[in-house]
Amino acid sequence: MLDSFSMRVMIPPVLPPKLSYRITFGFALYTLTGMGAFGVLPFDTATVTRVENHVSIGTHSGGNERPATLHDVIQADTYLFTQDQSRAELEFPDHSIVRVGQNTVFSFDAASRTLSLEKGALLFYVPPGSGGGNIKTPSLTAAITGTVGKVSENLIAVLSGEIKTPWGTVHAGEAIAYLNGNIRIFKYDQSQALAGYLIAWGGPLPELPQVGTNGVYTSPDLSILDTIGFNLVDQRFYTKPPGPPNPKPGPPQIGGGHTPYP
Amino acid sequence: MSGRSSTRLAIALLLLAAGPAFAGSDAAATAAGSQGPVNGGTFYAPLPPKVQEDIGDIRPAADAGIMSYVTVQAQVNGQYTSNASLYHSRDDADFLIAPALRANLTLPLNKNFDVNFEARLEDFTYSSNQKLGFWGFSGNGYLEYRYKPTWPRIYMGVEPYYYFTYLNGDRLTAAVAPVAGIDDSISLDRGKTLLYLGYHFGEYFSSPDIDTRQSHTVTASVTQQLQRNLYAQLYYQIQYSDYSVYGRDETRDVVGVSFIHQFTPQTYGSLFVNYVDNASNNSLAKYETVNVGFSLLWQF
Repeated sequence: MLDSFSMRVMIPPVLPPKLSYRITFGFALYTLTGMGAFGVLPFDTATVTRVENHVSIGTHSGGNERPATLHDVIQADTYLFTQDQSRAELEFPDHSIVRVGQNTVFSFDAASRTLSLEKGALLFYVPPGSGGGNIKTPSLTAAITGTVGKVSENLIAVLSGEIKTPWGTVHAGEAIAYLNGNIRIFKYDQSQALAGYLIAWGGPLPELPQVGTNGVYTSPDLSILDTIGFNLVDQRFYTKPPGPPNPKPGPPQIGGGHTPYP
Repeated sequence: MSGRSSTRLAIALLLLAAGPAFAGSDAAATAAGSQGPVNGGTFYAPLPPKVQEDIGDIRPAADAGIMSYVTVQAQVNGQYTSNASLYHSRDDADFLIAPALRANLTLPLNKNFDVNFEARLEDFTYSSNQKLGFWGFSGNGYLEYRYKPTWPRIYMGVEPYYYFTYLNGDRLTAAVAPVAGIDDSISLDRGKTLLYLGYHFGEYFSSPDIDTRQSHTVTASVTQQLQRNLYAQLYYQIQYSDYSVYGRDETRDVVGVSFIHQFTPQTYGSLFVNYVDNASNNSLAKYETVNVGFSLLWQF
């Protein structure tokens, strides 16, 4: 008997015929040409590196559903389901990382290195030089190389690198979205680039996002280094009678030749 | 003109008129496969709340309100300093608490230019040398330029500050400075290492004018991700200041190390130690000090 999640993921999304054709064509094109690199590691397994609350693993047939646990090794063509306030992180053999959000159905394909989101949201990190892969949602497909991005059913937002889609290249700081039969590539509000639970869940990703500001990765905070230097020293000068530009150095004399502090 | 041509012209004019509603407010946008604006002229359908909770509220930049560019930081530093009076190498240890509240607005003007405003309310309270304590306001306003997102940031602007002393409540010092600078960060090792290098110039006009100076500052740091939420940061700063009064010239060297832990996306804690050596052509202004402390930061 199929559970409700499996039923949903097996039902193809309803798209306009032209759009559906373009998606299929584009997906095939990018699968065949974009990432057909030799020597890349297939997405044949993924290891569960973090689990929060209720996360399950199931097969296409809807059977064999079981809870996912830490260090589980998941095979390709297996679905991962998360419930409300439940999340999982997967790491692939090439160190690609996928953080799966709550109420999400996610699967992956080994040969084409395709990450598929059927429902919900995820954050992905594919290291540069790993051979790239593909992202597939019910309404969008994209080829990825070294990329950090966020995905929902109808949206892919790029934080680092770029993705190539049948509708154009989407750069860091841009997103592609499907809405009401329209597909648009747009610059998104970068204050949201590092927003969301998945960004920091388990710590920052290995790759620094090109957009957004991570508090750690800024210049060092030196604001407290010399808190009284500029004014204490100046107060000394201020209270000191005018004298030669370079007074002769001497040992400090309390109550003597200078005022040690105001 | 035939009827069909007129219709095409009318449609073209309509599209041209409708275009700016989306593309005009977002120069980088493209409209591959689009059929015109949706959702009342703007392309925006809020993500479901649960999805927003996980990946943020991804929406067109043009639809973001100004408040989405504002960040507020509450920070408290606690620091042991070996030489509170900053006089030579005097053994004058003290502990100081320095809370600060910062509000920052970084507003993109276009793909190359941003404006950045920051206002700070700061307090410095010493445990033993209480008369050294002071509080006040500082800030900055910068116009920032990047040729490309990964290129160095070039900025110019103004930095004011105004401080009051706890000794008698009077103004301690105040200044305004035109400033300019350039800085950049380079990530290595798949982002686990970050190199930062920056140069900052300031021409400070101060009251009392004994603090009027011209300063050049170079800061370099390397940040290493040790664990997923633990970072080590080694930094060095050299600052040359040429004061207009008494012909005072100073060179301040700072070297330090910090360990930064990210507790949540909004909260950080750090432990730091640093050494400061201020060399001056005036003996009264020379000092060395060692600082050890902690910092807690909440950003929202």
